[in-house]
Amino acid sequence: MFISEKYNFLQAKITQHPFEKFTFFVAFLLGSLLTQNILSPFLVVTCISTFFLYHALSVKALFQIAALPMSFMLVAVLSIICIISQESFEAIYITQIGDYYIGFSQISLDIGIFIIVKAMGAMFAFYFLILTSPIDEIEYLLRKMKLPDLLVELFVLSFRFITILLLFSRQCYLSQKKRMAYRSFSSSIRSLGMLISSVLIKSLIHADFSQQALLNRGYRGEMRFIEIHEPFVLKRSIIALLLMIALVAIGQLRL
Amino acid sequence: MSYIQLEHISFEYPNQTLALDEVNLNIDKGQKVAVVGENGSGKSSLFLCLCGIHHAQTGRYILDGEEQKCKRKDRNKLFRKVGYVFQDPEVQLFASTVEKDISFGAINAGMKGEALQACMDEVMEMTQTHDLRKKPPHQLSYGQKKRVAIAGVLACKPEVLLLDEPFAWLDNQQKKNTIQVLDHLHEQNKTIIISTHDINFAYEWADKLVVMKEGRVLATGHPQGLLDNEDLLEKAGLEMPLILKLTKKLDLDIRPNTMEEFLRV
Ligand SMILES: Nc1ncnc2c1ncn2[C@@H]1O[C@H](COP(=O)(O)OP(=O)(O)O)[C@@H](O)[C@H]1O
Ligand SMILES: [Mg+2]
Repeated sequence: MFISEKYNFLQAKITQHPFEKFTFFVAFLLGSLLTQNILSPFLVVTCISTFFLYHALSVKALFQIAALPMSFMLVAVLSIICIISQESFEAIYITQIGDYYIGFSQISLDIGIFIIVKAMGAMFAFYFLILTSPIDEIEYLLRKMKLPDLLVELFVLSFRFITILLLFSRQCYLSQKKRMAYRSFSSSIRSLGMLISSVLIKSLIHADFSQQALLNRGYRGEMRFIEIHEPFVLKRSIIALLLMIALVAIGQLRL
Repeated sequence: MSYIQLEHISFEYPNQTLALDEVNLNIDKGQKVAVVGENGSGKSSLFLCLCGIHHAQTGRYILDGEEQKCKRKDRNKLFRKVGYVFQDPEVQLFASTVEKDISFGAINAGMKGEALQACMDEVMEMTQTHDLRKKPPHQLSYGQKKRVAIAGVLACKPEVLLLDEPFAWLDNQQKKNTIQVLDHLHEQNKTIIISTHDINFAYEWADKLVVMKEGRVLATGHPQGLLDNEDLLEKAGLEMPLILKLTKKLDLDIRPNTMEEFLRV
């Protein structure tokens, strides 16, 4: 399902105050974005990977989550690395197809690698936040960032209802499939249409009932919940701050 | 005067289905009421009217000596007094964790600080949801969701609790737990109204039985008196409780209240 659900044992283990996690997230993010070299994002990726592995995420799972953005990035970066030109140029590898020269040079390769490593660093920072903070802590952070209540509530409700709709569509799809709805192309199209419309109707009915249930429990246009977190430890946030300064400083070195 | 009084209540859905037809009903405070009837007989519609989500087009609804009008302020007061547990817990749970979901109603009821914590602890203890408190709702099993849904309504501290088919799809153990919760609430002198298809349970548990069919109340009264009546059972599409069947078959004169009593005889 969601990646944060798949590895939610991490969330259960790391129960520190959400703000502490957030400061580390910011440190990692800035460390990998405000950089001139590939060393500091590389450090970020290693740091976070070690942290995950230390908390018993398997190596296979780590590769899986790393591979997820990697596939998108490779496609995007390929267009930066590859140079297509009508004239020959200085390159590490070059080949001629018709009138065109295709290949990559040292500079384009360097830029490509730099972008990939930087993006991986930022991606891992996000993974760090998502895999360690359950959805209610993210909600807490959004509220603390003074986002309008409406947006935060929409976020919470969407997350909740997406899980319900996903579950329902999956059941519906399976039941259609068991009745051989997806055997030919035309019947697939028809079945898919039926699936979508039934999910739509179901969600309308669901929304109706949910609103009734909310009203019955005293909803007056404002959602407030109890907030219980581990106490905030300033020391750890200071460590995060120092980490950030160190990472950004390393990032400014010209190697 | 009864705690809840319905006089000639009729309710029609916008698509012109007459779901309740001239319903008259009296319920006392602290009573255990079971509503039985076929699917589509109007049990859920009755509950929705009782808790103020739907408003009957005709008739009078009196709760605790006050007539309920459809004004907004009245409705909010009614919501505070009457809690409704939906049949499908999925529609009720919406917060990101169990704990937050339960706290929602309590906070809306104006609780804060220690009172809030005490209320949450009491409710979670009663429904055995303490261990689930940090979990998001979609990671729960059906029975667990059902318990959290009940907890969420109990946290608002309603005087009257409506449960729509609380045992649907539950296994035996879960069902027993739910019955325990109901008994606990009965001790606190709350009025409990449930709808159910489990006629044996209704026979053993309820003080008052309401038999419905096609939006009308066919009969009300003590279950032992009503469920003996074969004509009524036939008409309402109900089965006779096992205990009564057995006593009839064995030609016993007594009418035991529960299966245990029966076995002792
Ligand atoms: N939202 C609705 N809109 C229109 N008709 C409805 C709606 N809900 C229920 N009904 C109709 O009202 C009648 C009573 O339904 P309901 O109260 O759900 O019965 P029960 O809970 O006893 O199965 C049925 O005929 C049903 O078709
Ligand atoms: Mg119903």
